[in-house]
Amino acid sequence: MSIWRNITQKLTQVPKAEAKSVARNRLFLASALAASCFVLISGKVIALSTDVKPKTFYGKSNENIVERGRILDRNGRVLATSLPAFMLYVDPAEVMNPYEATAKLEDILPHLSEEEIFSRVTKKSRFVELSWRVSPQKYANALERGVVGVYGRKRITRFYPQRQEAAHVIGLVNKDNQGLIGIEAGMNDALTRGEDVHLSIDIAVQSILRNEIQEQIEKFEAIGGAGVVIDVRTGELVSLVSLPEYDNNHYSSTTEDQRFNRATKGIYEMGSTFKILNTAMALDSGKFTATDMIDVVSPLRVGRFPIRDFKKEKKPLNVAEVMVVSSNKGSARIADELGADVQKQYLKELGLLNRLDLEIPETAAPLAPQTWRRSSVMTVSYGHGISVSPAHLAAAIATSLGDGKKVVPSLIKGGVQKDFEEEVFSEKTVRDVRAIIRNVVTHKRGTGKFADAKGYIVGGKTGTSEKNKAGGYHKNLNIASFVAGFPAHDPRYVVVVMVDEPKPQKFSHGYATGGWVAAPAVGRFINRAAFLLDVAPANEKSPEIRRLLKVELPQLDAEVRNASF
Amino acid sequence: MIKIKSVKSILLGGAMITISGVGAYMMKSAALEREQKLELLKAQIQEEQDKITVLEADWSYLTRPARIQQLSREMLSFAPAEPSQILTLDALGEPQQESETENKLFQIRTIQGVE
Repeated sequence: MSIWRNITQKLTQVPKAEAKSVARNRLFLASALAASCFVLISGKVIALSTDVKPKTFYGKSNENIVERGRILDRNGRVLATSLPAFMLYVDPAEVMNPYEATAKLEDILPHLSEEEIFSRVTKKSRFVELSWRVSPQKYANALERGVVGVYGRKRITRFYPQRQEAAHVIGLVNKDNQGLIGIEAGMNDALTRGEDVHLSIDIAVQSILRNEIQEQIEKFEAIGGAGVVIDVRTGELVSLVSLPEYDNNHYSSTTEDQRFNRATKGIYEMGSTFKILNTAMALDSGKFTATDMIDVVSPLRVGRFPIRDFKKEKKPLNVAEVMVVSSNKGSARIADELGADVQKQYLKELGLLNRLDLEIPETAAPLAPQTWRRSSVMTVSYGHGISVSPAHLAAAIATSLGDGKKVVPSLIKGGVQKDFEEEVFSEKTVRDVRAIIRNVVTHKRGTGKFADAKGYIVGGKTGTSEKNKAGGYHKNLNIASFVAGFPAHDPRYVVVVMVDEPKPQKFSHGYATGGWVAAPAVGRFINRAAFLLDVAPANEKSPEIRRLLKVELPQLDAEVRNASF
Repeated sequence: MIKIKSVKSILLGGAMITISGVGAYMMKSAALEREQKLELLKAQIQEEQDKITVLEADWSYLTRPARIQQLSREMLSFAPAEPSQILTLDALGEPQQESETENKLFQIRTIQGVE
């Protein structure tokens, strides 16, 4: 305090002699202070009036909100993304002329009728939603019209630019941007963290497969279909088609049938395509070789029902021939010899007795016999009495055509990282099976001729089964399928095509079988997509490939020779 | 003399306080301005990112295979490549040796020169 007193004393008690100069000093100081204050104020005024900042559309950024990650195909094409949009609402209390407002809003809200808009703008409420999602452009249009009382609130919405393509795989989110179905649900955690998800799907390949199956559905007046393409080496699902399809952007206007994923959630008796597995089991068990003879002539019964072949055979066939002509009797006899335990063990190792483990929630558990009777063993050998999804089948076939190690299907680029490789079939088995399925397509008596794609050496197997609906089999309701591996001498991809309830047609001579309905789709698909799948055409006549695809078919060759004379 | 000296020191002290006060004020307002600028830049970045996302989605929408196929069918006379039109690199054979090629070029030039 004494210091302060000292200072005030010194300032107030000025000697008379110095009073004038002190006064001048003080005056100068005071005016300088005042002047500097004015300078500061006017400086600020100038700064404020000249600093015209560009206004942004959104105002403040919300950096705390993590935007939901995108879903991309294997080549980085956008399949699902988050876009800015606006929720459009109205405060009816502010609307002055509801008729004018309705007229102005009509073409901005095409999903609402004129009456509906009018009722909303006249509602006794302070907040009525007009649309939960309009594009920024439409929002701008709405503002330009100058309808008093109409407001927008920015919100992030999900957009699926590929529309119906791979819709079942991609899935969709609810209004709170949480995944409901498909990858959106299965990978919801990663997407919510803002991570992009790279799928194994190639959208171009997907589109081709979709087109080819759709064409067969239309030709045969079928109710639906499914298609799967799996990379034999990695288990990556390159495409997964389910028809009929829907557009994720307009989910609310879809039917349950459209939304149903036939490729992973639908389970079907796959018919004779299972014979590939049956043959692989037989050869791998060591109980059979490809040249062992099987009785396909004498009648065979399961309980009261006889097992019949499409065409009655007059002479015994070997194991390879049984598959080429698709003999049910032969397959059943082979399976009978193997026994229930062996068959069950292989099916288990192939993953056909468990729910499909995939990155989407829409998967199904197979329907297998409860008790594995002798009759079950026989029917399962040719794909009856066991129902699996097309994706199940694709993975199992890939296992029996690849290197014999279990193929684990995945919708994520790179596939599932496996801790250890589970060997299901030996390399010798796999090589034999590859050669046999090529002959199903090339041999005169083979059932899969329509699946061939010149230069790509397609091997495969047809399947036709009667649909089991409401407790009984229906003769006229079929599941027609085709399973292919290509190129057969060293398969890179397995293709499964299934068509649901094809009707017999005139041009197909009354047939609605796998060979007529599904095989052509596979052939055309491979012809168009092999290029995209990086599979080069090969010369089948080269000695190397001929050696790999050689099978002994003595009886069938003799029949063909005799027929040509 | 002492008094004048003390007045001077007081003035000096006052000036320093004023300067530091003004300095602090200017620093504060500069920081505020920077903050606003940062906020603005962030909003602009967000806006640009939104635009990129929209354009990417647009691109994906316009290049969707179904549309490209339709357009190609209407406007181009392209067809799927036949296996015979596809060759592997091995099938092309070895490229000619460089010196050989140069020799040939040289020969061609000399022939043209003679003519």
